[in-house]
Amino acid sequence: MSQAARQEIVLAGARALRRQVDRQNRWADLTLWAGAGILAVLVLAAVFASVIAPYQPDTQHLTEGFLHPSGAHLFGTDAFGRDIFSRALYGLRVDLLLGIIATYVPLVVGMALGAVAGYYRGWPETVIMRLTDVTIALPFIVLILAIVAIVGPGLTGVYIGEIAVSWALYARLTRAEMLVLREKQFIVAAQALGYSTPRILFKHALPHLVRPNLVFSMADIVLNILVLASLSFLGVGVQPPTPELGAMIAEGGQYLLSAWWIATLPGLVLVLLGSGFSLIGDALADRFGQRLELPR
Amino acid sequence: MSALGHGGAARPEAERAEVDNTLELRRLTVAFPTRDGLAVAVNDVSLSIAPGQVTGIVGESGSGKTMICRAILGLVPRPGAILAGEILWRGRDLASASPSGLRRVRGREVAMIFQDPSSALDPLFTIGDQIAEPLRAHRGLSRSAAETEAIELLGRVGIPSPRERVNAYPHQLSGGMRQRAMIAIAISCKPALVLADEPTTSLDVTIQDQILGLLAELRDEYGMSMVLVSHDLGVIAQNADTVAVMYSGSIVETAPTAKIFSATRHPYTAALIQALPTIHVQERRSGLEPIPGQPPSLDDLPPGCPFGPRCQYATDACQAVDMTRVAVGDGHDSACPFAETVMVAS
Repeated sequence: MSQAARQEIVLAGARALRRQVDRQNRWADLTLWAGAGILAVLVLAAVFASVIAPYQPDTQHLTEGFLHPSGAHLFGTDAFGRDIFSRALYGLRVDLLLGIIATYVPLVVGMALGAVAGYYRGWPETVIMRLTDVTIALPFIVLILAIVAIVGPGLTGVYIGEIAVSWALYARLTRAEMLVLREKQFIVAAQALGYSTPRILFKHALPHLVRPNLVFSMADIVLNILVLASLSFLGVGVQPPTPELGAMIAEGGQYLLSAWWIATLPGLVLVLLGSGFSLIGDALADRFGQRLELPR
Repeated sequence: MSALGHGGAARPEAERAEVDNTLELRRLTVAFPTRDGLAVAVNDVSLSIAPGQVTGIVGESGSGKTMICRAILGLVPRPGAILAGEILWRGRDLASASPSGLRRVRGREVAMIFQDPSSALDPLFTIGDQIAEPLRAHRGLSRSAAETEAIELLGRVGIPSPRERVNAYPHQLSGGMRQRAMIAIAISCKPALVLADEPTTSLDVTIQDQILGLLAELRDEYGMSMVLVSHDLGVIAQNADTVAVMYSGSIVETAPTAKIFSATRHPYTAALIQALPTIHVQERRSGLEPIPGQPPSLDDLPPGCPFGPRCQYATDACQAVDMTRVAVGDGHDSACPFAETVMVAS
């Protein structure tokens, strides 16, 4: 075989490998941009709800109930003649805000506790991890229902409940990562250089712990929003007349056969919101080589 | 041996001249609890590391070389611990020092160079950041002053075009360059003692030579003492002033480097030298001789001399040897009480 032919074979192999990597990257990019696009639209819609919404979300027009979706009412109207499109926009605002706060406050708390447990070991680890076990062992919804029962129905109870519960998963995830990290040579090297413990934890360990937590948080946001929707559906979440997607689905459920749009269209918005976060989570997981699920 | 000789008189700063930079290990014992009992990684080790000198520690894997270095800095990995003994440094005992007391010593007075620079450097920071960090944390330099000095240090350790390389991440450098960067971090605060734990084991032979040459230069320039840990007798022979030979957690022999080869006084050292490949190996009467058997398990050491079961000269008396080294010459100690009679005779 001539040298040119051999060279050609090697180059062809390299090109094929390149194409495969490109294809994988393009797919991850596509997922990421699709998710980001969906989210961008929904976030903008929620932020500018007061500008976009053609009607007041709470104003009732009892003579205009059960109107089909049309140019005047994009998503139609509900039993009280309220514009479902406007209500969905305001509802999105409530859901998004809860999703973000009930995910990232626990993320920070859980990461701090998990990092301390994994780094110091000993009794801080025992205390923190047993607390985590107890929190995770109790069924999520039941625990939140209990807290809501104490605080009283409404958003406050849901916020307190979700934050009190979801830190535990981040603590568990972070501790596991920290146990691996603390044995890494560069952490030992940082100790050998006489750096203070806060410096080692925050400057050297933390950047390595953010990634898996960020990937998991994408799945967690969806979960938290769905919990709010479920609680509202059960009647202990957002109270009427405040618009919230889960509550709107619950209200529309009884008219599903006669006026399908009342429950279905807000439901689709919720699906879209969940898909947006999930797509981003998938893309990040692909990119970082992280698992999206946690062993419970 | 060393051009500097004893004492810190050649140190650049006058204030350091008054400090005695001898590191003294006294009956140091480091152990790990295991399911089968206590694994003794460092067994009753006494060693004096003279200022301005390179002290080599040689021994096979698991003989406790690295654990001595980590014990000096108080970094024995859990669940291991220093069970007994003292580590005397500038009038303090590091073995019983508080965490904050140890932190003041680490990096500033005693620095460590690790075996594998690719894992000892943080992959998320540029090497410039990592060299500047001790300067800022320990010497209070401003960001720009630290960066200027980081560039100087990179140049000093022989990294070409340091001005561009400060912004390189560890994965963008070769193994030799990474070890140079690691050395720059270690010397950034002008420590009086550098613990080099197998600094060239992960590098190829030509780079190994360059790195060891660099360490020797820096030692002379900064007047540092150095502990050079290696499993390679050749590396130790070329670079150390004195040698301590370790076996199963004990130091069996210490001697000035030349003496360890010309006047060996411990059967283990002799066996190690016999097992050393050289280009003259055919001329050696006995050829290349491996040491029979395996080192003992650290949680089940034989009574007396740990080398006894593998030693060709061993007698029943060896089971009562307590491994305290006795002087057999000028600066030359051996833990074998029979070395004089047995080895000279053979």
